Amino acid sequence: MSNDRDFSIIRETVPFFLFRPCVQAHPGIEVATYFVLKFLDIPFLMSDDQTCCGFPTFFWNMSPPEVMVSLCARNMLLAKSLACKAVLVVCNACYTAFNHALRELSNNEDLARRIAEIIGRTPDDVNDLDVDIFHVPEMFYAFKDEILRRMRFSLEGLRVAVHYGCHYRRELMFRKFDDHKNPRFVDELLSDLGAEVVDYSEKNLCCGGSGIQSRVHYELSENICIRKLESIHRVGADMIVVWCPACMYRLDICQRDLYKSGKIDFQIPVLHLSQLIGLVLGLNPRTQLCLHLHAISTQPLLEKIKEIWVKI
Amino acid sequence: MERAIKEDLRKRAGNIETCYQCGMCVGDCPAARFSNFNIRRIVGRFLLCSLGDIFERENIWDCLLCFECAMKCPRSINPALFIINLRYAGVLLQDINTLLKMSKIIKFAENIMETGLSVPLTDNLINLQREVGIPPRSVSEDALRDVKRIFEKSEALEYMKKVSRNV
Repeated sequence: MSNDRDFSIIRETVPFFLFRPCVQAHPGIEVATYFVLKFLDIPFLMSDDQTCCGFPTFFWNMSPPEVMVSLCARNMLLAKSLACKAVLVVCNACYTAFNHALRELSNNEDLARRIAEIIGRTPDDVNDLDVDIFHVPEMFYAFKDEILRRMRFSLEGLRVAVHYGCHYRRELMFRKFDDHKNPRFVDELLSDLGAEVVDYSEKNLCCGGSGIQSRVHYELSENICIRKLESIHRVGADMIVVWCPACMYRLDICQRDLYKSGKIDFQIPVLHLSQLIGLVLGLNPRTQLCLHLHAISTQPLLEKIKEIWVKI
Repeated sequence: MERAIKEDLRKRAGNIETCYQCGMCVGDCPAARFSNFNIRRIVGRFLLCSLGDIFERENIWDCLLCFECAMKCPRSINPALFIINLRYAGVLLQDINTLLKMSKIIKFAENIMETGLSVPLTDNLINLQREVGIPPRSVSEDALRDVKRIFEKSEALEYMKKVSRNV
């Protein structure tokens, strides 16, 4: 099944422009991605001229829609000026913002002209962005052979629950790396690394975060989060893997709060996909993956891994 | 004014008038499962009633914007995007519930305008990045100037004032 999917275009777009996220509750996301890319010798660049993708300005209605499209276009032009053919994001919100901006611009000449005026570039610049957007799941899948060749530990015996995230599945509808209603390719990738990927009934349910829901409707957000976590707990998962800092915030930090207030009676460690791949590659859990900075301790997970992991 | 806003919404909502009220959008909607939010009913109201009716009777802020409805709609309507546009209309119409919700989150936009990032950098973060040996994050003066320009030229400042004026 996975052989039909074409991930090869991703390999051809290096060097990537590594797009750093705003949500910094888990600094390990950025750190792990940086060291995994270095370890795998995948070329990438970063820049201090980068800003936020602008996701909240449109999706949370904080500014006119042109602000987000302008911020995305500006960041993409920055990537292009550094001779990068693709922006690599580590966050589902950034992924949605960039892809949404590209779709808006592609069938609206008037908008392109307006955005060009706002960011002070020519309409041709904005019309001809020619920069692709990739997220870490598809990027790791594209570099699977390198990961398999250089992995130091197998995930054998580890029960992993995968959370794709609403905004990632939504973009799969357009990007077509997999079936957006029931994506499997990250499950396959982790199976190939030895993990036992568990299916759970609420796999497609939102984490409850939605960025703003935890602020405007705390109870609704919390109920959704509890339902999701209980469904994962029921199938006996050792850990949850995500690739969005917002989902991670919700499932890690809010899970700890729910545990402390007695609303749930379990704690399941949550890792970003880059951190899990980093573990497989044998990177330092503390200094290269920052696993000590999670709300839910990752120590039981690491201890379990010590017991069950075999050095290849 | 309401009529003009509704007309604009209709244009932005694309093919919303092709909705035949099948309810596929509600089936997997997480907000529908945990509150009385019903996106099918809201679209129905939009097609038949006034905007004021929607703001009075529906809580459009229960939507999580997960886009599950857009993934399911057999007519390829994007109801979640419609909710975003409804919230914009709420700001223009100075709907008090909309303004109250927005006032709790508007600081993220102010953060972007002032620091270039939705969550400002902290010393802890920079120190950690230095310690582990990745380039410490910063936002250049050029980037900050560009961001200010974007907020000014897109009339975002006037818009943001509308949000905070009455709250």
